Amino acid sequence: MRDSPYWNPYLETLEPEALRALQFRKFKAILTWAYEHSPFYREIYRAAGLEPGDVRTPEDVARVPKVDKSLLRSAQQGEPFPYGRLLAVPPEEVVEFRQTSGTTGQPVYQADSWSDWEWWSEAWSYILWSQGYRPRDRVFFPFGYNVFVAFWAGHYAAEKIGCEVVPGGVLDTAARVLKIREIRATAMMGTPTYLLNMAQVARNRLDLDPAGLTIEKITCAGEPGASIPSTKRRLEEAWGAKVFDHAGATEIGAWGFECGRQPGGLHVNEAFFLAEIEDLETGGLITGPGRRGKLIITAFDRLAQPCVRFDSKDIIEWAAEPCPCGRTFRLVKGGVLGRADDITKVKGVLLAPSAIGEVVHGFVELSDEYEVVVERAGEGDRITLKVELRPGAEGAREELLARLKDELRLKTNLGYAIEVHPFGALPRYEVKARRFKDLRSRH
Amino acid sequence: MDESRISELAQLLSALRRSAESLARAAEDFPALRRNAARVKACLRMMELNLGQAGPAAQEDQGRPD
Repeated sequence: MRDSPYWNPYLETLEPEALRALQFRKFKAILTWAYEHSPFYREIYRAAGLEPGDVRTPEDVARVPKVDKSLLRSAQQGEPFPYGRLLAVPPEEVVEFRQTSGTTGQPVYQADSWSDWEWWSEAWSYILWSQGYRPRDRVFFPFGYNVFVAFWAGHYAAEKIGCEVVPGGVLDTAARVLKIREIRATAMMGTPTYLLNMAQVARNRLDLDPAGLTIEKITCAGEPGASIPSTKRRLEEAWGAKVFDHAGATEIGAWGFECGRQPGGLHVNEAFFLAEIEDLETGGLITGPGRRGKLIITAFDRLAQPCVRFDSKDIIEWAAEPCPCGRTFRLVKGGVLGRADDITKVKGVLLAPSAIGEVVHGFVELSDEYEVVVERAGEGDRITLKVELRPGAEGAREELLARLKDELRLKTNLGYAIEVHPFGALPRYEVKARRFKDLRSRH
Repeated sequence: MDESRISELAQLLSALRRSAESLARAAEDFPALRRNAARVKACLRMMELNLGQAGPAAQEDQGRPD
């Protein structure tokens, strides 16, 4: 049997013109579906004086009102409980409940029908196949199987591909490492923060070198780390494995993936999603490479709770070059570069917290953990970076701190107060890390 | 991949869809068949999407459980 490098050799290599035509057909179909079946979408479109038939050309797509998390949240206040006016199928057709993490407020509940749940794992199958997952793989899932969507669809996609899946749900971190060793797992998935933490537990608590285990490939999600070169390098060295990034969200689905060529960016699955990039200041669409903006995204085939022109707040930019893998799905350069709602002004300078992580992870003398605290100091701001020295790096402390300050200044245009903490003193995280603390509103 | 091959696959898929719909209708009083047919229809929909099919005809039948 021939092994295609593509999960879908037809759509993943479709000529760009045909792909754009398919996207427009699918956009009109989901717009019509949302209008006809979801009271929420019908209300906002009617309020804007728009009917699905008004979208006649690809340029008309920009006329369709955007939605965001706060709008979805408010639409869920009514009936039918708990999905409210967002729901576009009869409640008895919902077979899966998931929710967002709630880090920005009341969680959004996500309803999925059977078809939607299949669609989730289908989208993930594109990801995993492109990263080299095959039926011979034994895939370990070190995450808490609960109400957060996390790697659930990754589990079912691996199963669909024919991999052997091993749920590591209720095990603690050390037990997970030991299970990987015991069953000789060849692949796993997790957030970059947690996988670095796992490697540290293997080394420090179990006296095991994780690079000596059998993991060959790792798929990351939930945080941008696997697209940040210094963090990716740390992960790859720690586990002796190829590390791939993927992007998605509960309300959207799995929209982006790094393929096996590791092209320094993510492919948008353009057969399943329409990705638009909006200029943060003008609101105009960015169609070419070289300018960053906010991702506005539509899931074409998600029916129970449609996602049409969702303002994801993810900051991305189109890559200039196509990927050598042969996929015609466009690339976003460097993955998700940050979040529009994370970018904050400190000392009058725009700061994306992920840039600090990129610098810290470039220093081999520093541990994986760090924390950033911004506070008011008199009339201005004070920004403190807390780091840990790795055991054995004490001797170079002063020279290291000087280099760290210089690198931070270069990368972020800001001066930092640096606090060095003993190794192991900063918090460790199981899922998404909360490393950036802006305390200015408390003063 | 050439379009004639896609069209040939789409025809095979369409025959499967018709069979699944017939089975689901014939098994209305047979939960074990009816519910499994709903899952089969959800899988069929994924295959339709993978052949680039779009539009209300494909979307309105989403492998509903009943």
